[in-house]
Amino acid sequence: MTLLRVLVFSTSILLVYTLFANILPQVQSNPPAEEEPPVAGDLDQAGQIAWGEKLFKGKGTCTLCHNDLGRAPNLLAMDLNTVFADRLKDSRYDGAAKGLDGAKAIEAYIHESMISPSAYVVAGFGKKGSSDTVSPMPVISGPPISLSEAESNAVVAFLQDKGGFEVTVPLPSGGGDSAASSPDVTEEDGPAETAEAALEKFNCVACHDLLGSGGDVGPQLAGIGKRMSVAEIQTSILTPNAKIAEGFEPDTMPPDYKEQLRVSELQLIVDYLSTLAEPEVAQ
Amino acid sequence: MTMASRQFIKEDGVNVLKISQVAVFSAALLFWAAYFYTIDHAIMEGQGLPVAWTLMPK
Amino acid sequence: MDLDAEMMAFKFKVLLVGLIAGLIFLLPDLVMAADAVQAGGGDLLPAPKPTRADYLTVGGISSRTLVWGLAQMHLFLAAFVLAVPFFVLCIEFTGAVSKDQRYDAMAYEFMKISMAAYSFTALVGGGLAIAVFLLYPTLMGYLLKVFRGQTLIYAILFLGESVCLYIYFYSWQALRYGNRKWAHMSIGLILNTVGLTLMFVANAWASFMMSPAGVDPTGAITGTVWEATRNPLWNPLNLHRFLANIAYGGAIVGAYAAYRFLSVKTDELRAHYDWMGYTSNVIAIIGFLPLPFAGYWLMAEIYAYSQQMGITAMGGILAWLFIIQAVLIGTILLGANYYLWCGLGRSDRGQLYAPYVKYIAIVIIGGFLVWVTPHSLILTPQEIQALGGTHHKILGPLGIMPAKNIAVNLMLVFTFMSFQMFFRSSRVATVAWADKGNALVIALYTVGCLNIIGAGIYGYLTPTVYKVGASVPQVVTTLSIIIFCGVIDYFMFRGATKTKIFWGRMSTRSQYALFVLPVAFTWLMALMGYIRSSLRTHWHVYTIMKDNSPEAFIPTIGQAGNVITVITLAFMALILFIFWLSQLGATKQIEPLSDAKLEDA
Repeated sequence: MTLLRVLVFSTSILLVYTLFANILPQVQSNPPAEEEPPVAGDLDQAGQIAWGEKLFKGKGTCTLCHNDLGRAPNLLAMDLNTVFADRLKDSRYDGAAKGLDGAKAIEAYIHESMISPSAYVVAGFGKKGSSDTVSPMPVISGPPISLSEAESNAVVAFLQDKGGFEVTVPLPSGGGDSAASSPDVTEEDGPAETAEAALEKFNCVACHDLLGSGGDVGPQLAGIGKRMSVAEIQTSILTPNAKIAEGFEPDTMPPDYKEQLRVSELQLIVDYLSTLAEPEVAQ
Repeated sequence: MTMASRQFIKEDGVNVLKISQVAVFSAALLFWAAYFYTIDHAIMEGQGLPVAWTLMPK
Repeated sequence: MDLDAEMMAFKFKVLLVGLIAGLIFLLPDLVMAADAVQAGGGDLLPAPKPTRADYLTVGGISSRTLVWGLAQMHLFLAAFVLAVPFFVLCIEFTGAVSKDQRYDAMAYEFMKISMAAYSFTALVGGGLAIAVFLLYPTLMGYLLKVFRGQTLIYAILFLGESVCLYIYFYSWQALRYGNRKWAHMSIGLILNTVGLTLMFVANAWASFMMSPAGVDPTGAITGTVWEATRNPLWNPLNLHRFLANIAYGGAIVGAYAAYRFLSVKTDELRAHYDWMGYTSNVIAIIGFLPLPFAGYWLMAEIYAYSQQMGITAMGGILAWLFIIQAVLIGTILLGANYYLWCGLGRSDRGQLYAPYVKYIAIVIIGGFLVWVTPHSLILTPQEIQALGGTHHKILGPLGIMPAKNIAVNLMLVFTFMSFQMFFRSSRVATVAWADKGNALVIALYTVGCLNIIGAGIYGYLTPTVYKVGASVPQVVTTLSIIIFCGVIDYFMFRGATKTKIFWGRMSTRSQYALFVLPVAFTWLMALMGYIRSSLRTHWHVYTIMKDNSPEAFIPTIGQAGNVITVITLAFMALILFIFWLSQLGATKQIEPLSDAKLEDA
């Protein structure tokens, strides 16, 4: 008899909790649907701005923090025209937009905020204890959000438009849409067998001083193995904008090597670079 | 708690609040206030949140 | 001289055993740290990207629900089986030091309950392993690559756990008194060390999936096993589970004691089980009080690792779950307190404290109501925009952190007050400074509560970073009150006159409070597990390996609640079976008188 009473009592409590869980607002969170990127020619600027807004409130998950709860500047409610201009005028600002003017500067600032959030942290929004030097914002081009170049540009377009600035980002085109495209590599070539062949195949020599090419668009890589770990070298190739070397600009190195390189080729290149000797010190 | 509360109630039918009891209690209040003020300040500073002597943000 | 030498020799042996236990604890870490061979020299392959076809479905059963159910059952049982030896050792130690034989008997009885649970834990664990390798082979293959040698260590530790557990239990009566008792406790210490290490190793896998370390952004294994183990959320999870296990174990054995209390017929047995119930409730409360602090640390580390993950938990789609959590914790605190208040009736002096109970009840219920109040209905990012962050104009401010922290800390302080009252109800202080001690205690509660409330109001007036930072002084205040009151009472009631406690003098109602505890705890644990797994959203390993299974979505709270209830009911049934088994072992059938004997008589 005791057993029965205890069972009924316990089950009733459980039913109360179950009922409570069922009467609350029910939300199912689905993984983000693969957004159909608009095909070039389909999208005009108005379309790009609308796409940017959709991304801002959707896949980009921007509104998770950029709202009225004080975690991040409430971009949708602020007067972006004055706000963005003020940010650039801040004496602490020393980022990508410095030296640029007008709408181009705004584009650079927004883009930088997305791929390198700690480059400039608005006062009061930094991570606890970092005195506004470290931003709690994630890198938008990397996981878990992973906005592509076209998507990032669309968000920039949306914000530029909202602030009443001229939209300066390019419309999305078919393939690469940033400063440089990686060379057309055909599959008939087959995988590169040596590091040197891989460096030539992917045209690294064009921008970096490798194999005697004298390229100086990108940083010197001699002795890089002493400055960076294997993992960091790999990241620099796969996600070039994750960390920009001092004195160089973002969006210079093609971002789509991760689609082009085979794992074996990547390994050859990384191994080669990590053992590349430092240059002889000339007197 | 019981013994202390009894002393606050009645003695010879009259409510007598001994001065010594009030003094002890006040001293205890001050002691704990000092303790909590010190740790509050230390904890906020220790978290990298600078505070003034009023404990408000600097 | 002879006796002293013997004692010294024995203490030496105990120390040695302790050292061995420590080494067992360290050994996996040393092996893992030495495993630097793979780093950098390995194949640097990125994490696999499973497609739909890589996920197996068996017989139309939802894979995710099956694994969820098995994992949760395993966690319930494992928490119980790990917690019991811990507080059993503490009780055994108390008995050995105080020479009160009742403690040893109770410790032995607790151990008996957990023995039957142990084989079920292993059984369900095995089922879980089969299910998870069958249904999610790509993920498990990757995790095995990451944790490599540690998996074998895990298996060896299980063997160690079994050996220690069986020796500990079966040698109880053989190693009963004097030096042998110390040997027995050393075995208990090794048992706990092995068990704790087991939990830490298992936790590493779970926390790796949430905050991966020792791998590069593509998932290639670039670090040692130790680096993968010591990921950002590992230690917060360790602490949280360690404390929660103790609270949970206490709650379950409390239910056992309550059930036996209501079933036995003699006064003596009723007294025994009443005392057991009281001890269990104390263990549950001791484990429970520091839990909010551990939970806060876990949340803070989640925020530090990824603000997005943190906001998903507290401000995003999972926010409502913390309201349900508030309901459950409110239930647990009310139940535990109600039991203590009923307990005041065990001593005649208890009546003196009865007038204060209503104030404690007001604070606890009031705190509970504040804690339950939601702030905003933040759901999906789209809905944040559409609703503009709605919250009730009057009740809204009660929904944010400063108010909730005031509520929770005050609830804990006043729960401790109930406990302190019960402690004092059977003791009359004989020290000369008793009234000064009381003044010190009352002042401590007063200033402490004002500090908690003040820090909360401070949160409304300061920027976000300071608001969050102000919650630490609140927790430290709560802990200070508990520790200092404990110390003051310890000294104040030394040599106190003890009035008689009539163990067994409890109402039937009070025992139901002891049933509420494990039921609420079990459901709460499952709910928290649902939150923890959902934080990963659609990732197997956060930011590294996407979940491409057909069930990559986070189920709604209602669906989750239904699954959780079913699992809880299954667990309750299993626990009842386990209780019944432990009693069955002690039952003896009386030999029937044969016909021949009857004829003689």
